[in-house]
Amino acid sequence: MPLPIFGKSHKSPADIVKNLKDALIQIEKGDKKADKAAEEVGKWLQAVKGIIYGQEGQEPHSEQVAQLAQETYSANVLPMLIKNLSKFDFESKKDVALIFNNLLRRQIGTRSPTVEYLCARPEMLQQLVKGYECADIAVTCGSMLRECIRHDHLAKLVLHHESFYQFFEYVEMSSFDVASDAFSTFKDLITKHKTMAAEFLDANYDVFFTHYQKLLNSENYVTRRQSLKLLGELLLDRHNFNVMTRYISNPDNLKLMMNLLKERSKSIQFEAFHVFKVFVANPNKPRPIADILLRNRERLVEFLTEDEQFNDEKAYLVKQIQEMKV
Amino acid sequence: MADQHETWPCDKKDYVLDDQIGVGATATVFRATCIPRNERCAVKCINLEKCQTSVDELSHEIHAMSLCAHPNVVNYHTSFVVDEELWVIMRLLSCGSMLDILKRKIKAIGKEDAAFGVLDETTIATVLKEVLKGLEYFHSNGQIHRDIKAGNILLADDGTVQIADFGVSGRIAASGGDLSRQKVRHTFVGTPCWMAPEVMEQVSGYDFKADIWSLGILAIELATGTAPYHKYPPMKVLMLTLQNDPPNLETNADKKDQYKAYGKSFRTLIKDCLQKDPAKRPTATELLKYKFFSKAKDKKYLVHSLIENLGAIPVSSHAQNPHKKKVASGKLKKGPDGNWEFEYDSPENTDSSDEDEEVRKPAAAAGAAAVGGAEPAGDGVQMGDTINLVLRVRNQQRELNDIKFDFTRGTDSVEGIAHELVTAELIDCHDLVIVAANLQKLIEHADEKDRRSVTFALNSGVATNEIPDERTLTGFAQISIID
Repeated sequence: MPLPIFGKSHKSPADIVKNLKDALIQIEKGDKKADKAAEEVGKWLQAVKGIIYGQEGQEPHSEQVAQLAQETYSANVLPMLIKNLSKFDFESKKDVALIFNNLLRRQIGTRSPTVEYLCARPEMLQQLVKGYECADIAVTCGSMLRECIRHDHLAKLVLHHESFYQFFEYVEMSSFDVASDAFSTFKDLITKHKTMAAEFLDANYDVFFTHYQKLLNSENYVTRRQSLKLLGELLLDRHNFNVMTRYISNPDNLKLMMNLLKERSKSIQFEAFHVFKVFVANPNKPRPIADILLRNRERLVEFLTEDEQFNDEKAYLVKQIQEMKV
Repeated sequence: MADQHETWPCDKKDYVLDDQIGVGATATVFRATCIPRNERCAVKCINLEKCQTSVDELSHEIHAMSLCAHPNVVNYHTSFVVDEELWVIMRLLSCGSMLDILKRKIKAIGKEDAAFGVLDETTIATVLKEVLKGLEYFHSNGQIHRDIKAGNILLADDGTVQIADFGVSGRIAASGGDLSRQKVRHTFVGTPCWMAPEVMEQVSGYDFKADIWSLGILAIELATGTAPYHKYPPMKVLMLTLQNDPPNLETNADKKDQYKAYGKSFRTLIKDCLQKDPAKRPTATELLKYKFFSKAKDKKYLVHSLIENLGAIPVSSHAQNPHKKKVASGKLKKGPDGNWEFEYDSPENTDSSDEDEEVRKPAAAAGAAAVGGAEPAGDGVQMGDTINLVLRVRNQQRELNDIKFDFTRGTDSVEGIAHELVTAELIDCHDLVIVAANLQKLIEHADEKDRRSVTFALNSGVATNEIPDERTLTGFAQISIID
């Protein structure tokens, strides 16, 4: 029998996980009073955190952490934590993300046991994506999702699931914190693992850019500005060479950029310029692209020379446009 | 994410803005009413077009706020985009900041009396205790505030004290909130007078303890009415903070015994907070156990001492003198050239350094240098001439490389060569046009003996730990003609 002086802090990892699971079962059933059950979950999450991060200035015990992780997998508490997230109180939600993200980073040699665990349970990733639809858990799910995406296997599962296209809705949510969180997850998905993302964009070029076009034309200023900036980054990344070539061969895309160059917002103009220059600098401009540039030669040169921004690059573009042969 | 979050609407039409309570260069704060809730709130309207802060940085700030639910940290309700503005809905703290309170108090008791101390120990202890509770929460979240000062401590009409302005607050664990991984930060932000020496030095990085230093300065500010080095320009503040012994109550005193009303326990608190070695400073939790805080009273006391007693004195509105505070809150950052730069904002302004801007600056500088660049080519070089060139640039491993190539007029094109360089991964895609532009410039002037080389800033910028430097070609590249 443990001495009372040590209290619950000396409960073994197995006991803590078992108690946490019991509390989760309670909250799932919903027969106990909701706030009482949430309080219980919060208490055991604190205990889990204590093991992972160490208590009262003490370093965590690696054996205990290993044992805790093992118990967490075998008792399957991670799916329950995510499933019931919205029932927890404010601090508990943050604790779940903290614990989840820490377990995800844990490595044994070259193995990442939590990544393997999640690979076998892709529905958990879908649950996290779905989290964006619920304002009170959106950013918590977002932080867990981004931690998952750091691992290419998990990123691939999210990217190649049909729910990926939901992100085009999420990044336009009316609440800025949810929308901007979704946007950074979306950006990670298509930029973090370069080769995989490039393959995805190449293979799904039409669907992806049909959706993307809506972001560039969004009513929401931030969506327009952020998606334009990301487009510039995507096109200028050499992994996306094929995507870039396709993008800058389509006259509709050039027209859109020329329209965005005319927006009164300087920031939008700035981002649009960095996409526009890729069209002009293309040594093998397709006929329709060249035609548009030629037709608008005077106006473009006038427009580009009246602004003080990006003089050096502009002078070059102006020259390119002026020297184009009909 | 806070409990009330879902019930605060994200639509402009649900809010009625009343009077302005703060104006900055890029943001205005309004007293407002949320119609569906029939509740007062503060609306901070940030102009995203004028704001130098990138959208990414703003969303970090909002994210930091949304992770806080504590009575002593300003309550964030929601935020949404309205045209080119970001509207941030927060709790209304109608009595202004402690800086406003200090000014009103000085007005109320007169300058002569204020010279012997502005606020009494009981009031200071009560305010600081609340600030410390907020900081303790902040730090347990893995966050550092980085800009603790009277101007950022707000007071509600019920006497609630809250820490505001997350403009420069950074999460120590920026990636996903891992408290164990990255324990120090290396960015230079804050306001010089309140800034800890290790933040200024930027050598070893800093942690939670930087806020404890600022709290020590705040303690002096609440007693004397100003931060110790407030009358000096920012660069001098840096020198004084780094070279002198830590400041104390008497640092700014004209007469001996000027601040004798303040006792030993208060002085101990200040001395312990203002230790140059951050490791020696107590944590927020430890400070709360200090003897000085046995003097602390409750909210009601603050309502009496800071609100009712000063009721007749008008709140000094930021709107009336937006320029007055500029020097006091000038923010300092290290510029792309390695020199110190100053930004002067009013306290409402949440601007902090903007990474985009820093990247753009060298490009703009190169742009200015290239004004003569588009002139027609001299006729000394004939078609068919082959020019030998070398591009000196750092590779991805940051080693300096010489890339030799030739250019034949009439055969080669500038953009063709630039494309080749990109395809061969010798230069970054972002630098394609800037390299082409400078190559063009050089070729046009190939016949002029004094224009055989051109150095220019790269769009791809520098690695996070580097400072752009033209001389070492960090963030720059050079193309030269070789014979």
